[in-house]
Amino acid sequence: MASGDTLLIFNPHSNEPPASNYATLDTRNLHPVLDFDASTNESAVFTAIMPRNYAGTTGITVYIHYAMSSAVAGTVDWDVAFERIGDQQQDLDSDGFAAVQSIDGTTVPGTSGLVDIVSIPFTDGAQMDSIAVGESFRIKITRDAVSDSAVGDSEIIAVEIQET
Amino acid sequence: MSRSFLQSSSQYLKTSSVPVSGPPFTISAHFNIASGFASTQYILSMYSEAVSDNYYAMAVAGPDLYALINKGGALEYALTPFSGIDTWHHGCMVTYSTNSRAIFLNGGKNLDTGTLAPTFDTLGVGTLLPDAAAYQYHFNGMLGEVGIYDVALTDEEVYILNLGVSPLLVRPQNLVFYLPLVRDEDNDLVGGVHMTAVAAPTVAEHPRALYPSGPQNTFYSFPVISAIGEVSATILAKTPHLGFSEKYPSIGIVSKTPKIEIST
Repeated sequence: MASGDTLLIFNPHSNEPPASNYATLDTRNLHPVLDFDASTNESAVFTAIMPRNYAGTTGITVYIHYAMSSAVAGTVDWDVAFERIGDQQQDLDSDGFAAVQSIDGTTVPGTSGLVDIVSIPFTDGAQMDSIAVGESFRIKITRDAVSDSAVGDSEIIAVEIQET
Repeated sequence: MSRSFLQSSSQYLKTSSVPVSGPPFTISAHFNIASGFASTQYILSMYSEAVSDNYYAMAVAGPDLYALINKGGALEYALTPFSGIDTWHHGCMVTYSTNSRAIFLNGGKNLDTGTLAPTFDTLGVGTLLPDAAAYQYHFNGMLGEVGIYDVALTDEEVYILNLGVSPLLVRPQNLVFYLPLVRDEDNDLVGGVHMTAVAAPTVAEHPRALYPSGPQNTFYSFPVISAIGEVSATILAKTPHLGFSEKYPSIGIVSKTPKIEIST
């Protein structure tokens, strides 16, 4: 794979909701979306295997495609974390997410139905929990609603992982 | 988003058809009872619109969750203690035959035996028509992921539904009615039935659910052509992710290396 190529795509139906404070499934004009509350930090989790043509040098970038349910002003904050499952790396009976990387203070679109795309880069290695090619992993996306200011739900329509 | 019903406003869904005709069958639903409700409320019922007191139903009454069978006023039921309002639960009614039925609450099971075999022709979500005249005992709270099977699911299958797995992933060949109740789409995605909403039920947060997911990726990687010569390309495999089983498409390509000759 070359820099800039898409590695993985996740849609709302791929969500594996955490036991609590999970983003909830909804539709918007029949588009499946995941709703993230405005006051409580909620998360969505997706499982995948790192494609074997990830070069493992330049890292990855996570793109979050979201729209606001009603807000046309204010900011939204997103946190993303990775958990390497790998080959005997992670006990499934516990969580082992690396530290979050964030994009904060994004001004939401002026029209609530418009989809904004934000990106969060992860260097190869510890930031992405040292996931290697061919290893399974989880990615957790959290709206930092406690810190951001936009009112109403934020709705994720898709997530892309790109080779940086 | 799930469907939210307000008991005091007599909100419910109905359709003048039923996906099964009698036992064995299974009814599954996630429910969240909101505070401020009157004691008896029906989650789902299959009843006769013309003949009073003929129905199968799953309902909460007092401190219990019931699998109810009523024929001509004679009542049989399986029940299990229920507690916990303003939180999501999974309820499942399984009829193994006209003589045997069970009620499941969050995976726990209670059995009952009996003889009653009511006839029915109408399906109500969040209500019951007990006397062929007026709808009563409306549900107060949220409902989501309603499924009806034309078989008696096993205890293990009921437990999987309890985990939040979509009915689409549990014995799909016998799923005859599936009402996800995402937002106000009151559509049975399996039987093609559109439920009629009465008194404008609203929407609320959906229960935790696991769905069949689409394919993750198919990408073609081509090298940059900088000179005349042989160019090879690799087509990556497509791996649809269905949650509990991996399935490869019949036309899937594991690997292939085509050659493109370029010449002037």
